[in-house]
Order: sequence, then C-alpha cells, then structure tokens
Amino acid sequence: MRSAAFIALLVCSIAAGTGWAEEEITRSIRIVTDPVADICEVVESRISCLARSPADVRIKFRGADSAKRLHLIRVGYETRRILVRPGDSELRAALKARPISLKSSPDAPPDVAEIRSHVNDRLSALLFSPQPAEELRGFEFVGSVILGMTAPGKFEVIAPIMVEDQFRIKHLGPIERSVPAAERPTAVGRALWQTYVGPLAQALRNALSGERRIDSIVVAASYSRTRYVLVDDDSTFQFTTKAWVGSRTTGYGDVVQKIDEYRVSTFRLPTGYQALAATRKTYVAVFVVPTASDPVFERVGLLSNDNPKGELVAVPKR
Amino acid sequence: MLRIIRLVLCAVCVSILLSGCSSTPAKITSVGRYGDAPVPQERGSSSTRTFDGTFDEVWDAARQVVARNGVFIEDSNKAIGKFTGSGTPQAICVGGPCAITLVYAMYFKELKGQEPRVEVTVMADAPRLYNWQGEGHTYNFVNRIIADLQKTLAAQR
Repeated sequence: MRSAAFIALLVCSIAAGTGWAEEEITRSIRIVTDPVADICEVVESRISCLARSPADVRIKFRGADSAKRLHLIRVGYETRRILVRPGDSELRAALKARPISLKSSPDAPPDVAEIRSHVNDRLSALLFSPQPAEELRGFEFVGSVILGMTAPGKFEVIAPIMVEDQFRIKHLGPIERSVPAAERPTAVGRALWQTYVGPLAQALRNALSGERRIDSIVVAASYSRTRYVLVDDDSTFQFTTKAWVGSRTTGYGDVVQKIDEYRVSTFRLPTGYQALAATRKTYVAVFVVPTASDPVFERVGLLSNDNPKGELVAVPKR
Repeated sequence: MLRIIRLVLCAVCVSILLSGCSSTPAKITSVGRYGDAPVPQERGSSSTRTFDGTFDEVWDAARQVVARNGVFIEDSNKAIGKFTGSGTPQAICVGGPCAITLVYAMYFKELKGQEPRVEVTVMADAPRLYNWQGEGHTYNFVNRIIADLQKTLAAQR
C-alpha cells in the first residue's frame, strides 16, 4: 500500500515537474512612445531603465504565456505601465502630461499675469519638448509650479518635486552609516543637489534666463526615509493559574467529603514584548537658488525638516 | 589494573560526550525537503491562491512578505518558481506567546489568460511538533503569508 502511494507520488511529481518550469524565451520588442520616455522595469522591487524610446528592447520571458510589465517614465508626464508578451513585436503608448504649469487667476495684477505666461511658456519648452533634457531624471513634479513674490516687482519660481525611491537606498543609507549625526543634513542636501536638484535648478535657470524679475528659483525636494524603531506590542493574551490553598471537610451525618480549595488568578501578558518596526516618513529639503549667480551648492540656501521635531530649519553648509 | 580502570573511564567519558553530541537536535532546514512542484504533504498545512500580477511582481512581493514575517529564505530557484525557508515566527500557544520553528515552501506558476495571473502555493510544517500540535500554527502561518501577499500586491497598484 505504502509503495503504491510512493509510486503515485513520484509519477505525480514528475508529471507536475515537467509542466512547472517553462523554457525561457528572449524577444526583441520595439517600444514607441509619444513623447520620448525611458523604458524601465521593476527588478527586485527596484526600477531599472532599459532604454529610451523608440528602442528595440530585449526582454526575457519565462515562457510563451508569460508577461512582463514595463514602466514608461518621463519627468513632467504621468508614468504609464504597459504589458508585454512574447507574441508582441511593436508596442505604442502615449503619455499624459502632468498639469504643472502655473495656474492663472483672473484677479492677478497685469505684471503677475505677464510673468506667469512667460514662465509657463519656458517650462513647457523645457519639459514638454520632443526630446527630454538628459539630466532631468529620477524625480517627479508634485502638483504645479508656484510663483511667489519676494519683493515688489521681484518673483521666485517654486518647483516642488519628489525624488525617486532609489535615493533612499543609494544615498541615504551610506550617509546614515558613515556621516556623523551633526553633518547628516548637509550631506543629504549635497547628495540631493548633486543627483537631482542641481541639474533641475541649472535647467530652470537657463530656461528663465531672459526674465530679470525672477530673482530666485526654489526647489522643494521631498524624499522618503526609513527609520527602524522598537515599538511595544499592545495586544495581550489572557491566561489563568490555579494555586492550591488548602482543603476542608464537609458532610452530613456519616457522609464526609473533602474539598480542595484553589486560588484562581487571571493575568494578561503582552503577546510580544517589543517589535522592530520600519516606518517610512517623507521629509523635504528646500533649496533657494539665486538666479544672479551660477547654481553652486555652496551658494544656495538650504532648509530641511529632517530633524526629530520635523521643523523646517536652515542647514549650515560646512 | 589502574591503567585498565583509567582506560575504561576514558572510554565511558568519550561515549557520553559522543552520545551528548548525537542527541543535540538536528538543525531544521527546508533544503531538500520540498520538490520542484507542489505535492500534497502528509503533515502541516498548505494554501493555494491566484493573484493578479506578473510573475516578477508576485515573486518580489512574496519575498518581501516572508522577510516581514520573520522567516528566512534558504533555497531559491526563480526558473522553477520556488523558494523554501525556515524560521521561528511569533505565535500564540495555550500558555501565552511562544516560538514555533517552521519550514515552508512557496511555489509560483503563471496562468494563461488575458491578464497576467500567478498561482501561489504555500506549504508549511512544524517538524519539531506532532502534526496535531503544529497544524494550528502552520495553518495560521500559511494564511498570514497569503493575506500579506494580497495586501502587498494591492499596495503596489
């Protein structure tokens, strides 16, 4: 009986095993996007870009019925996710632009309306041109660009962005491990500047160079950071114990009965004493870049709320 | 005569030491315990569910889920679509909080269809316990993994 069961199990496992692992297939698929965008895939939970469209991308599939999801990414546009299959030879996709232009208001003074129109034209030329600027990668605009007035007749352009999650792994991790606590905000600011904010600030400055009324460009860069904290588990488990305290006899007439007496105690215990929990919070680093001089990290104003109180404070650039 | 007694004593000591070593419980590992395809097990619990997503998405999410549940991956083969591991996740026993050593295997199979879907099978066993003792723990573990996988995939959309 046992040997028959074993043989059946063996046959089942061989039959299932042949169908379980499929032969890998590599296909070259042409991806065309409108406008030009980066073609990326998620590998081990991380975005990895394969090429810039239009391009023939070689994709490995697990089998003939397998599918892969590609991410079409470009700054200023909503990320598009498309499915590719081994049978596909060419895929076309259009990306939708994000509404990041300055918003108009009917009661704005004429000079504000004029500068807003000018900034919108320049932003569109920078972000929505057929060929994207090479250096504008790895971040996304959060909401629309804002026009602020610093003094009568003087304006600042505020660009809120959110940097990619890779920043947390590539830059924040090494900084946390190697840089002393007092110097960390500066180091984080420098890493943000070198990777994302500096190229964006330079591109915005070039785009808005003809407008003398804009005296500064402000880039508010959001980034997420993982903190590991020990938290108390608040769930409890109830249990009771019985302790013998003595015995007594009771009875009527000739019938005598011995009764044991117990003290019953009820306890509540936490199910776990402490647990290591990962929290991911979003912080912001604000870079104030004067348009009068070249954008260099040492010359920009830097504020950050990456501190225990979460307050936006000026960061000294040592 | 004294030399013989010493030799006998020495032999007894060595045998006690050796027997002590051999009585140490062997390390529980999932390596070599599970085949390339899910086969119904005599012990423990298992669950099979279908998830929306590509193979890579479900595979990556499952690896995150097992890490968050405090178990380790010991053997992984993406070509076959299987990883196995062991660990001691937190559990509730009759007397309160306890730790039960489990071994588990996860199998992934892409399904044919218009939308990408993956069939996931989770198997778990508590080898240090009798099956009737460990069944509740493995049942909880398997269903927690399946539920967490669903949550993780839902959060990615």
